[in-house]
Amino acid sequence: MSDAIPLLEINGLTKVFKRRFGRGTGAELRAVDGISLKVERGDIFGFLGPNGAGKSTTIRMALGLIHPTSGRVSIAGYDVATQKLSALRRVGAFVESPSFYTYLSGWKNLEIFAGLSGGVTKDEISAAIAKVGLSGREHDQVRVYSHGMRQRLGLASCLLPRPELLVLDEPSDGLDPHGIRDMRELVVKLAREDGLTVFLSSHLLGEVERLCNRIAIVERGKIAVQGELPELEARYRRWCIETDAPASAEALLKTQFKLEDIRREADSRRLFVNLGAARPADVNAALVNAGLAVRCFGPEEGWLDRLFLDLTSSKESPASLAGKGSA
Amino acid sequence: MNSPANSTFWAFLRFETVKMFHRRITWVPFGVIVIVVALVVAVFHYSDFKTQLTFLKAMNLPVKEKKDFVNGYLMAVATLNPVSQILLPLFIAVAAGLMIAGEAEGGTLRACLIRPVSRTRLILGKFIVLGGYGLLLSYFYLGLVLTAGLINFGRGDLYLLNVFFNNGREGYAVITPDEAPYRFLLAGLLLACGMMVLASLAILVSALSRTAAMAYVISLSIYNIFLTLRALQFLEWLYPYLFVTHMLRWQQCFSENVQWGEIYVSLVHLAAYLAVFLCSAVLLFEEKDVTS
Repeated sequence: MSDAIPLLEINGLTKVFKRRFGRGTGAELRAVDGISLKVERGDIFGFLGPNGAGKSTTIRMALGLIHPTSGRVSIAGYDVATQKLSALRRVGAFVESPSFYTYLSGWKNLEIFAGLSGGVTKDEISAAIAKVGLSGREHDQVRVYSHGMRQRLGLASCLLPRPELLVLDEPSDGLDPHGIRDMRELVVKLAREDGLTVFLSSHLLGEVERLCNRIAIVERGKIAVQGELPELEARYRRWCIETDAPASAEALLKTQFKLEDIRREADSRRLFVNLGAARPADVNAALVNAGLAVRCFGPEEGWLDRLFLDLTSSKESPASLAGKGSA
Repeated sequence: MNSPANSTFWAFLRFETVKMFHRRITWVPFGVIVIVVALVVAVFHYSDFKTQLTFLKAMNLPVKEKKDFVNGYLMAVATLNPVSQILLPLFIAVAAGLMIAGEAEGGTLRACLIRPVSRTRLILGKFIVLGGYGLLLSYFYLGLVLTAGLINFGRGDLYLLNVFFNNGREGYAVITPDEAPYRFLLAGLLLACGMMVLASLAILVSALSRTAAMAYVISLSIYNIFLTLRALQFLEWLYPYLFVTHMLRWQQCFSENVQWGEIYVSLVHLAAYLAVFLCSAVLLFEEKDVTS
């Protein structure tokens, strides 16, 4: 397959669940509503959204677990609906949490799951175990593994046999800070050293910010925003300005720089401003020249968290909120 | 290494077998069968069989006391009905429930389905392993009960009263000790065929259930509903259409003369039921959304 073909391409994916039994028979739930996205080779793509937004349903449709109501998913150019086995040969994945036969050893589990993909050599299993740092524990029963070890084993099972795309659903879910850091380092290593493309869903926005080069935020079954992370940062990251006279500063920014996206924090002297095309140094100089005491001037911390919350906790439609970011 | 497409099915069967025999619960039925056989040996030792003796004498059969008709073959055949109608279906339903619905519950089914293995192959592979398990249990039971019976009570003519056996028909059968082993072999084969049909039904139910418990409760309920219908005399016209009728056809092996025609008809019916249950399982599972 050509490198020009996106490794994962989702077009107009929709899933409507219909209640078949009991109260409310016939009622419809539109879990995913026309999602489209592309994951290019080499991407680490973050797929974000609150619980119930449709992330897992999208991932399940991408992996052929759920049949879409409409839309199309292709992996390395293979249509998941019609060429499912060819498509899945390119993928290593775990959905929601890695699951294992707990009465078998880690090694046996890997042998079984890799066997379903056509089989691997013992050396390949050993290499995958070493890569995720489970050497020495591979012959223990999975029931005695810690949560972190199971996550690592899940990652090892994704690596067998030789996928091009890793699909990881909440890989850091339930891990302690050390585990989260280790998992992040592992994913980065797999992407950089082994050249794997990664599609991961997560709630840990700081992790996503550190890991991913592209993201999509999904809310109520629709993509609210997606793009390259630096591009989104330039578009949505605000600057924090702390001054003695926030009202005067706001008026100056509106008149002199024509800035509209300004938020005043209640009971504080801080403004959060989307500078758009304005240069931060020019804005700072203008405030100082106007006689305003600028105590703090810098890029907003946790901008992705804020964007996520803005998009996912508002009653406004995510699309209209996303449109407020100045290009 | 073989190409992936060729290696997967055999690897799949091997892995299903490994999974099945590493589960402790898989071995429980073998233990239960050992206990049942031990209990039956004890009952045959201490029971006086007065009622049967009275019946046999009334029919002018050459039996005067217990040892004339109590032997290893009688012990084996006396336990076949309860074991084949209650215990074996229970064991198969539980194993089938764990194989698909249990794996769906535990998340391992979705871990398998995101691998390049077709759902049809998955269902067929699991059915083959489950069928093999049913066959193994059937012959383990028959082998054990015959061995224990022959060791404890020896060989002899097999006297069978149809009022106790063979679905309540009148009359009796006497099978010679030389012929009895062949009758048991044939009965075992028919019993195993019946268990394969039950396995296909249990696989169908398991493929559509969310939990293992739900799967085996539903499978056993369906089976028991059909058994109940089979017991209602006024529904005799319905008997030929019930799969349980054909599952119980092994009882024919202990008639005076084996009715081969009825056995062939039942085998055809069992094959048809198996095909219908299995094809339904494949088709419905292909369309199923795996949301667990």
